[in-house]
Amino acid sequence: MKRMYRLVSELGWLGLIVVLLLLVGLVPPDTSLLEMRKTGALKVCVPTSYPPLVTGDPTQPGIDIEILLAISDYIGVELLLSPNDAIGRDFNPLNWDITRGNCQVLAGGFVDTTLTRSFLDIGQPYAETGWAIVAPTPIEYIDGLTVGVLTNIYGLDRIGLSRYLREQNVKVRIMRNSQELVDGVASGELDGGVTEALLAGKLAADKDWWTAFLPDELIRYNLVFGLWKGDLTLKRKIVQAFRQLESDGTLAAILERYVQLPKEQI
Amino acid sequence: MTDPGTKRSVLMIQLGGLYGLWLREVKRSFRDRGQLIGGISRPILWVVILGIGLNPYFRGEVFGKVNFVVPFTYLQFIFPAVIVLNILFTSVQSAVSVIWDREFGFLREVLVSPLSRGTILLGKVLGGATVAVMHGCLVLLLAKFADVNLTWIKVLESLGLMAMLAFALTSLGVVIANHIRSFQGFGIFSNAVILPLYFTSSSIFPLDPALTQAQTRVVYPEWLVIMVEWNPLTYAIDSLRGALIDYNQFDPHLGILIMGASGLVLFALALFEFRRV
Repeated sequence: MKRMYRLVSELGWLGLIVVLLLLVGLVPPDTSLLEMRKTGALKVCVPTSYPPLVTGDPTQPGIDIEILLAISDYIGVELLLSPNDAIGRDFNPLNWDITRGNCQVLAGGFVDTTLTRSFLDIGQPYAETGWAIVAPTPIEYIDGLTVGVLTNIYGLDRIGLSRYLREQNVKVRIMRNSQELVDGVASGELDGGVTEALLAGKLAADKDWWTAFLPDELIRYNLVFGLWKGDLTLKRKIVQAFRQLESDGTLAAILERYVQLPKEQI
Repeated sequence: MTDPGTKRSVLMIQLGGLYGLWLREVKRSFRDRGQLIGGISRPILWVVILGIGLNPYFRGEVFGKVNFVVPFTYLQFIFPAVIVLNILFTSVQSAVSVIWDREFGFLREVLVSPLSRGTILLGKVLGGATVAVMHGCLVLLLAKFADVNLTWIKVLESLGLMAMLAFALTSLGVVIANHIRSFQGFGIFSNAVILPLYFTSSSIFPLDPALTQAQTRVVYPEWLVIMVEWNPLTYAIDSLRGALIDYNQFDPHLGILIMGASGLVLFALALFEFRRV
């Protein structure tokens, strides 16, 4: 009886310590969620246009905008978009002038890479992307072709892409936007266009063109939302909202409406 | 020639004694409320207070401007180091039982038993290491708070690394205890070993793996870089970081190699000195 009492007492202490540590884990580590609730708005920096993630069309605003609308709805705050036309256009993200004061979330073409994680924390991945080629008719070999290259997405491996295209003796023309790429390919001036896979899929679907992923040596990455490092309470809430969207099928329905990833690979 | 039956019974005696000594160390630690309180106060102070307190200084304010080179938050970065700190304190201090046992005559009784010195020492070291791993596991309870995602694989990998480290550090504790005659002396001496070891192990500041040796010596004074690189604990923390948050500043195999080698060398040294007791 005495031994039993001693055992219960010893294990009770250990149990108490475990419970205490678990309770400490419930303490909010920062004020980001509280601040957002105070303002009643989730502020998000997005590019002005990056289809199909951000389209600028109110009837079909894009994958990221629809997901963010659902998330802000779940949290019970308003979605406040801060369009920034420098995102993706300028190589140096410092020139985008995005600060903690402008927005709490960065969306519209951020991928999960070490580079992204050096600057930001990231949310749940929701789609995979990489480099793809789009052309009016199927292309078997890319060697020696003239292609337009549009790299308006942050974080995909541009150096790897440039190395690959150089190895394949591809003549490269840098495009400023998707319209310029479409015009170049449609006019026959370019044999095809190389860009991010979701955009390539969208262009191919719109124009009834062919599209394919570039080879596996060019790594594919997960699309994510960027959050400021250290905003843990906000991140937890967004992850919680994401799980809800996944479980009730909202996320799948949004992706179904927009995502037309290439089915082939060259 | 010894018959097989006698050999087996000798082995059983050694194993039984080993189990008894191990269990005694574990039970003793459960009854030592002070040690348990230390086991929770360290993670609370380091993860919760220091982690939250310093968080604003390591978070990003402007996109594209790097405040903290590590692709993780500061809380995630120090989390594996706090596990090591808990193991470090518990392992080294559990060796205080060597002094305790010497002072109160228990060691004399055990030494005249049929157990070999190696078995006695192994029982004590394994007991201390088990308690230290348990204290390391207490920190794991704060993983969610620190935004460290645990999977069963990560936990098992971490437990293996924690056990190797705890074994080496408990052996170190015994080496220290063999040279110290009083409890007070042990406390002072162990702190003089624990704290410098911990602070010079890249536990609270990173050596950016993206930088070359020359660049690192521009960011930090050379003497500090040398201390960090020569500190075996650096590689233990690095291995645990690799297991828990997939971030390594050095070759991840180096940590396992150094912990394994340190464990063997320190245990051999402890045994050498224990034989003279």
